[in-house]
Amino acid sequence: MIVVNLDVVMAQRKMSLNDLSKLTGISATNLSILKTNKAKAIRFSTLEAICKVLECQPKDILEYKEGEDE
Amino acid sequence: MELSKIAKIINVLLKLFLVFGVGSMFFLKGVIEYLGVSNVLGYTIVYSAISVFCLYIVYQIIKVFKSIELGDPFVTKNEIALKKISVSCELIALLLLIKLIAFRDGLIFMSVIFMVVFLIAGLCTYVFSQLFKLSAIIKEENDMTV
Repeated sequence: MIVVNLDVVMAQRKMSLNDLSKLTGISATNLSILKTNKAKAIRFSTLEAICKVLECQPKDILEYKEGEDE
Repeated sequence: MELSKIAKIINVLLKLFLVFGVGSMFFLKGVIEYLGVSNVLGYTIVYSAISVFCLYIVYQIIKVFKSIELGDPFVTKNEIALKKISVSCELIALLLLIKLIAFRDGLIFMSVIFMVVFLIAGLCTYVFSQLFKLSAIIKEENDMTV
């Protein structure tokens, strides 16, 4: 399964969910869905906005873990 | 006109129809007696059952239109409501068939037409219920796409 490590990157950058929401323009609700691994898909534009603000690569946010499917 | 407003108007009309339908059920036996058919009890039982199913269909349609009014029609609840409507339509068709075989009245042609109409309506509603099921899945995926 694909795991979203957004909380880890956010903690490293010491950034809150509301700050990230303001800087990226993505709603806090959507970021929360992403953070809690409830998202079923992610748009490139969303990923791009997050990577731009957090100054990271998509691989820092997304990780593939074997054998932990829903 | 907005979709929610149209749904609201239809809902009000359906509620009036439901009240009128429940009220008219009390006069069903009297109407059958007035028509002068031979098997009054048999006709009363069959038509009462058909009336109950028809009112149940109206009640389910009200529920579907309520969700349209609220702007959230693609939910599993509506899929179930449409399935219930489908089953009710098929049961009405079955009751009409039973009436046709058991009473052998002079209204064979009309009964066959109504039977076919309800049979097709039931099948169509089942197809729509499956479409609503698919829509609910796609909507959920869309909602969960960030």
